[in-house]
Amino acid sequence: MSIKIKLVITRALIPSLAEFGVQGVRVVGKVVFKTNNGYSEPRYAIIDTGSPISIIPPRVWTTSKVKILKDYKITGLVDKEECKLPVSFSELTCRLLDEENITDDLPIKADLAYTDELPIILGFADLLDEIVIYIDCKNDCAYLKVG
Amino acid sequence: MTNIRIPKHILDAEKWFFSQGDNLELTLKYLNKWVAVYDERIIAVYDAKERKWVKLEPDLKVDPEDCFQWFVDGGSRVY
Repeated sequence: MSIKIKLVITRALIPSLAEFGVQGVRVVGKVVFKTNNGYSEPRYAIIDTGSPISIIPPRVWTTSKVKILKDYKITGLVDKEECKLPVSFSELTCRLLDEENITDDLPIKADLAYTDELPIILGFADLLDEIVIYIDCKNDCAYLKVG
Repeated sequence: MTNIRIPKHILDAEKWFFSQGDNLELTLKYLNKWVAVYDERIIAVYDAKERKWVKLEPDLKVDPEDCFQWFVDGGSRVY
């Protein structure tokens, strides 16, 4: 039986485009990560269909149970050396939740970042490619269907 | 299955923070930082270099780790 996890659609003015009233829209959901003695506090993560792999900042993963598989560098839109972000491709376990429901443990592979100057990003590898994503910004409704 | 509960004060803080979408001043002030929200205000900012919370009201007896936390990303950033 599948579990439906509610997502939240957030909107905030994009500072450099504020005079045009352009809002940055994000679809976010709550996630906890498995630690050595339970689970972390629930935190919001961006549901990012543009990200092949999830990215986790150190203030989250340093208290999580992780197995590092490989160190490498990722790049965004600009493929320059100074824009590359060193990360560790790793295995860890998370659960998605909302106020009412929570998934079982979801073993995922993610890039562990070494800077806290980024949010938690949930991408496809082992996660979004395994579940149904529904987003209806017009009617302010979004959810994940897991299992 | 471990019971993971989302406390009401966290849900209230989320509701307040997500209602601030047009608050450009807030976004600019805390752009690219983690913030902790309590009682409809930002009470701490995370210093990513020192890896610790900096309280905006030092006398307030609230642990930022127990608050709603959010990364203010400005909406169009490419990681």
